Amino acid sequence: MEEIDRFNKYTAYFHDGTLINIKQLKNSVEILMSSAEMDPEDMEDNIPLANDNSIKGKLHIENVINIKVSNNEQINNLLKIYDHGTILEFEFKDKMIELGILWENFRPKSPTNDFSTIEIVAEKIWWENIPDLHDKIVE
Amino acid sequence: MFSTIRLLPWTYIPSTPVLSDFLYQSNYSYVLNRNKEGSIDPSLPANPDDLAKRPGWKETTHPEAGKKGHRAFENEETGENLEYDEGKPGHTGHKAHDHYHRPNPNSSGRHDKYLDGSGNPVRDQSDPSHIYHPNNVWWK
Repeated sequence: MEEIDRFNKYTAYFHDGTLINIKQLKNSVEILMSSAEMDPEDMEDNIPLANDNSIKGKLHIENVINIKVSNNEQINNLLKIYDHGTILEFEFKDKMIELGILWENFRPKSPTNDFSTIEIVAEKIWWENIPDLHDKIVE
Repeated sequence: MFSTIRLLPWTYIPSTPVLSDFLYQSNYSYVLNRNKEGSIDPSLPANPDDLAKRPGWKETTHPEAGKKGHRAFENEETGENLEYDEGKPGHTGHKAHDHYHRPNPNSSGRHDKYLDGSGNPVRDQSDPSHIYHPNNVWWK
């Protein structure tokens, strides 16, 4: 378990990372994520990296107060509807996380270039580091 | 963790660690693990606005992604695609610096989703998938 404030200094490395999955159960959300490759020298804390030098794990968002997708609606059931999400933005401030996700489908599904901004306000947000998290590279 | 390294004056060259690097095991590991180099393609314009002025190229940016600094371009004649991420000063890693991505037209999955600056297939998230104009190289 990582304090989100300490983890916050690594959120920029999630630019060009992957949103692996989203799970929502009642008022809790889990977001499985992987950062882009980073220089191990830049890891200043005891947060083990995955074999590909990325940060992998699960963002736990508990006691959710509000969810907005693309700034215009509250969503009760947050789902990953496309095959793959590339993280363009990952910011955390004042108990709110913001994700900018560029979506993609793999063949034979129809291609998409949809983009979503996901904003979640919650009472508690923390990071579970999982370096061996399954993240299928070969589709 | 790498306190011994700080005491040694040495210059990092990725493929050719100098002999002194091998005198300390921790230093050797440090050389092997060192990353952050993107790749370089001098054929790309430093300013993406100039890309749209080249023959065949048009901008296909998603409006919401564009607000986040992510732009997309397609060459209608060749079918080539390019993506551009505007750097955001004050951040770390590639996010802080202007860079391109070149999607691999023959990709079969995430393991070869992009091409590096030399046209070799590389996986997504990898350092070489971030392509820089020579003027924008930031790593040492």
